[in-house]
Amino acid sequence: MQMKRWIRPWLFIAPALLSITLLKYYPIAQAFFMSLHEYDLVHPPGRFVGFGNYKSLLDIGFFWTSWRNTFVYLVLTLVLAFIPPIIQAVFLNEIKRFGRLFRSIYILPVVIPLSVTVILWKWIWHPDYGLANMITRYVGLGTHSWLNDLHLAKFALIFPGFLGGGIAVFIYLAAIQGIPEEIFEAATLDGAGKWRQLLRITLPNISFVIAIQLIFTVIGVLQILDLPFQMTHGGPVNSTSSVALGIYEYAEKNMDYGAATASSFMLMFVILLITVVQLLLSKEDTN
Amino acid sequence: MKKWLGSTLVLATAASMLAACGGNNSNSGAASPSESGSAAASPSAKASAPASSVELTLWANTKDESEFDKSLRNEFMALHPNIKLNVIDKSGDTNTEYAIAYAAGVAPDVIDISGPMFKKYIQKGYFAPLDDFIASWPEKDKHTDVFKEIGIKDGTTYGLVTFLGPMMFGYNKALFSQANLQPPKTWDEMIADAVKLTDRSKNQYGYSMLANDWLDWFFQFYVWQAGGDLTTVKDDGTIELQFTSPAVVKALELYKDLKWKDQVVQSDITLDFNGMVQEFATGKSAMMIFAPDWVPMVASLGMKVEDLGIIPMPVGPSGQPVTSTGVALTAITGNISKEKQQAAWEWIAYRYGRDAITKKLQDQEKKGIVPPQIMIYKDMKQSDIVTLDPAWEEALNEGVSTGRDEYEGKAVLTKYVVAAVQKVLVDKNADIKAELQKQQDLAQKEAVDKYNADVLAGK
Amino acid sequence: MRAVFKRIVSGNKMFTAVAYVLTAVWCALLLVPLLFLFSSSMKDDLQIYEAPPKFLPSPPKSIGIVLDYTQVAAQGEAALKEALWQDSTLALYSTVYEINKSGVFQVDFYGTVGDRVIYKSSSGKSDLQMNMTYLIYDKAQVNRANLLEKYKQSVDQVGYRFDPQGLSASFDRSRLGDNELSGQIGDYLTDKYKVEGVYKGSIVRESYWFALKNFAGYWKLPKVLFAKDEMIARFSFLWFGANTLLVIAFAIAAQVTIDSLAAFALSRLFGRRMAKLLLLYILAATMIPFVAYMIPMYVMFQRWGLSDSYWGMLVPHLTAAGFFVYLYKGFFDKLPGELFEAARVDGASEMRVYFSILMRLSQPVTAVVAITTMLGVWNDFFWPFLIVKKAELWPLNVALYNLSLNANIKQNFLMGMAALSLIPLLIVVTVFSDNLRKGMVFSGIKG
Repeated sequence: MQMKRWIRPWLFIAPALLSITLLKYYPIAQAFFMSLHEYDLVHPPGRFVGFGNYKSLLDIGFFWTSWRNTFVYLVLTLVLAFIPPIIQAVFLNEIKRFGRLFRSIYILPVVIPLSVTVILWKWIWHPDYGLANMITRYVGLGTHSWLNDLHLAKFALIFPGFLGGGIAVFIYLAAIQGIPEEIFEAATLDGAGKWRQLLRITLPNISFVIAIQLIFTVIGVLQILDLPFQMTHGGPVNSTSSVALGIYEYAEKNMDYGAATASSFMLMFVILLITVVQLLLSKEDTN
Repeated sequence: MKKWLGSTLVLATAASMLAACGGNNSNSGAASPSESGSAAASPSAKASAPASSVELTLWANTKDESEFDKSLRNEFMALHPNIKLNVIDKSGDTNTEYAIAYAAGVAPDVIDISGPMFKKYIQKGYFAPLDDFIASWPEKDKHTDVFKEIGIKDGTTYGLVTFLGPMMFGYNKALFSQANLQPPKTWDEMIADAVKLTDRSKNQYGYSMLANDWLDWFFQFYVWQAGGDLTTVKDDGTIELQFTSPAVVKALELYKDLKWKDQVVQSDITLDFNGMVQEFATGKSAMMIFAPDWVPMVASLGMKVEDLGIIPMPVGPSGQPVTSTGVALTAITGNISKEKQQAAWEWIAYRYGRDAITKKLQDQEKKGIVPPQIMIYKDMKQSDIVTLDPAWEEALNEGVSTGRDEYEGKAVLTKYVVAAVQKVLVDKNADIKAELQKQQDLAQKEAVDKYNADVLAGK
Repeated sequence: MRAVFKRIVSGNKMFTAVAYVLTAVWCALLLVPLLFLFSSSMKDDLQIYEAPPKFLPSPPKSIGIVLDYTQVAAQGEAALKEALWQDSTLALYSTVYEINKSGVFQVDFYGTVGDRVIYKSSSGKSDLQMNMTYLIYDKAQVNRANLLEKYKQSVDQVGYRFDPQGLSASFDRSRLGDNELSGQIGDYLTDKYKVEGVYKGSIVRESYWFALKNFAGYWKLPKVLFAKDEMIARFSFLWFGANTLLVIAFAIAAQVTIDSLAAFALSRLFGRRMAKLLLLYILAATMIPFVAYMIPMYVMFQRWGLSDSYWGMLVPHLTAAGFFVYLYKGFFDKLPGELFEAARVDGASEMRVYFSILMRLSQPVTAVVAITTMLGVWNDFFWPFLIVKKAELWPLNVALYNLSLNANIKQNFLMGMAALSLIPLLIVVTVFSDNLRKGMVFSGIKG
């Protein structure tokens, strides 16, 4: 009853190959196929239009607005939510007393579900009843309309990430703690203070982790969808709309599956491009 | 977003939403066909009952249905032992879901669809022809003619008008009488009242403005009252944009004044429709555009029904009262068996029949909350069945006579109108004409050319 | 030399000081929104609209209404009980309905005969509101006729204590009528709702205890809203949590099994070149972002009839994750070959090798896979939001979002439900903080 020898490895790997093919490669191929048609759900695929969907997307103002917004999100995230955890981790590493308490607090944002964050922050930003205006008024910054403001809305969306870095803090902390103690001891003997050690030892030693985190952050932010969808639905005046939200809207609001998938495909292309560039850069760095 | 009504009304609601959802997602006139009643001078007696048993799939928002809606289905099944109604709970927006479900072969057998959406779907051939059923329907001559044409394509009827609801204007009588004010008849009075009723220290403001991503639903009324329209239709059916016409500019100026000069609207412009209704119902806001079938909704949110005033919309610079009438049609999904279609028709005739409408009204009266509504039978009058606030009834009658369909091309134009209006609402210094011009140019380039080409191509 | 030394020390001290201050401040900032969440959930539907908001809301009020039944008592106990049932129903609901400009958290009803309190019934405002909207009165208008039509159901629901000889319950007689609402209450009870008992006055009490009772209401709301969904009606929020847990458990099981099996094959069973090719095929898939195939997958799942079912949420988690396969493979590659040789000599099949040796040894990798998967599923929103519309299938994230769209749910309820769903998590996190953190870090190292 022995199975043929060659077939057994395939049995082991079959679930992985099948699932990936069926649930990733097939849908993405389908996306490409749909993007070439004026897709008709009931009588698929509908009229073939070649790259017409791509071309007409490029002509739409909203498409470009959503791209611009997505890159603003990227910059905001890097400044507000990417750098803070590094700082937090560096200092958290220095703390000996109450360390457990602080760590427990830092870990909270990781487990708070997105919907709770949104419910809470929508109310915090409320111009009348919210906490934000109470605080800004108190410190003399005046009141703002936050999510109603064309220029502040994107900031208001990303800001919660400034307070809660989530898991990143602990990744950096572990990386710092993984640096051999002797390096620091030698530096101390050489007369280097902690500030200098931070710049000369700590940061260079965790730069690899930072680079990896950066790649993941960029990929994540370029796909940003849940947050603008739940917070603002992309308004006001599309000022918080993202590329991914646009994809959902083409499909759900306009039932234009061709445009939605064409946009998906372009987004994937840009993400791939940026990731490859980043990988190349970080490789060069480590060399 | 689109789920706004989903939470409050019924399956039919779903339809109503659609009714409400002009093409993409903006909401048209009023709402729930469920409210508009149900029917049943049962032609069922006459129609030959299918021999074998049939199961009909329906979509309903069972979470928010009243006990009455449920009992209606049970009564129907008792009368038709061979028909089983299988209800699938749908609390969301059935607008696009129907198309996807149709494609996947899991569409409900009977569906309520809003007017604008129906126009789109009828072209796609989703529905079964109703002519044979209607021909033997005792009510066929008494059924309303209003918006009948929406359900007809090339002489064949695919949809039965089962809900009609004009948009009106609601105000909080308690707040008005405290301030010793009369309900507004014109824009100027509306502004003056709103100013007097705005008291931020008491957390109270004059006018709730819909400013979310389907604000054109309300904005169009003001454009009409200013004597113009957002688009005009040419003889060949193509549309021409009128964003920069004086009427649109005037309407937007009104919005700008309400927001910036008089400051009588909610400070949170992103407030969604649900939030808006909630603030009106709890007396934070004194006025809003109001569909009569929202009466149960505001009542359940805590508003005393006796505090709710419903009047025709304040008249604008044109001097003409204009409003829109929301319409929903009920259709049978086309790709089901003949027996099922027959059963589906039985259900429609029962649900929207005279008996069911009457019973529903009586149930509402018993509960003390009767929304004024237009009957879908010519010889039926709501006040013959139940007692109705005479002021409401009068307003409704005027609404009927001044109601029209939504602006043409809404399905593709919403986002441009929204962009221009929102810009003015969030940026004090925005130039009205420039913003409108900008959006008109964008709309022309991105949407209208294609729309017109499709119209000419007969799609 | 001394000066230099001193400078270093002071520099280091400075560093430590900055570390403590900054960490403390950041932690405090992080807690502020959470405190705001909890304080908001303690408010009622009027306090929540105070501008500017208060962190510590003023103590909530309860209104006690006292009616006397000396005359009715003469007609016998049955008549007395009937009158009390009807009047208590009228008094409780009318008060919530009529007094809508000042916060009332609880209404107490006292029926007296002379000095004796013979009947007491009390209910939180949120409970009464739910009865009016959903449970008993089905959105009917609040008026005498409607309230009396179903008073028996209401009395059963609200509960009461009755003893013609007198109850131990009592109220502060000296404060009877000593408040500005007392007159108004008397007016509507006698004129509009026409109670049988004689209105003696009302008592207003303030206590933070009533605010805590809010949470009972938050807990109850999903049960009431989804009364037809048996499981939600039973377990309220916990059911949504259970849905999330189910998906998490499935996803972890699927990832651990599928990925490690594949890795085993790649590491030990395939030839070097074939393994490389297959790994590339698997890894390349990780470069495809979810949003890129979200729409076709949605259409596909509809066609397969997977929408609105657990399978719709679960099936996507069957997709092997390239990175995990890579992790497992790296681990298996490093294991000494003798291990496998020994097993083979034993005559163990590949399956047995896989289970008995590899899975036991690769626990650290499995932990990484499990925790990463858990966090991923925990924060997942859009796919379940698209694919399941039925309430009984909603995971927590989707449930909270959909509830937030419901017009009948006011902001305090929303905040309360959000707070409520956080409490178990906060407990877990505080108790297991260090373990969780270690696991996460380990998993996070990969980036």
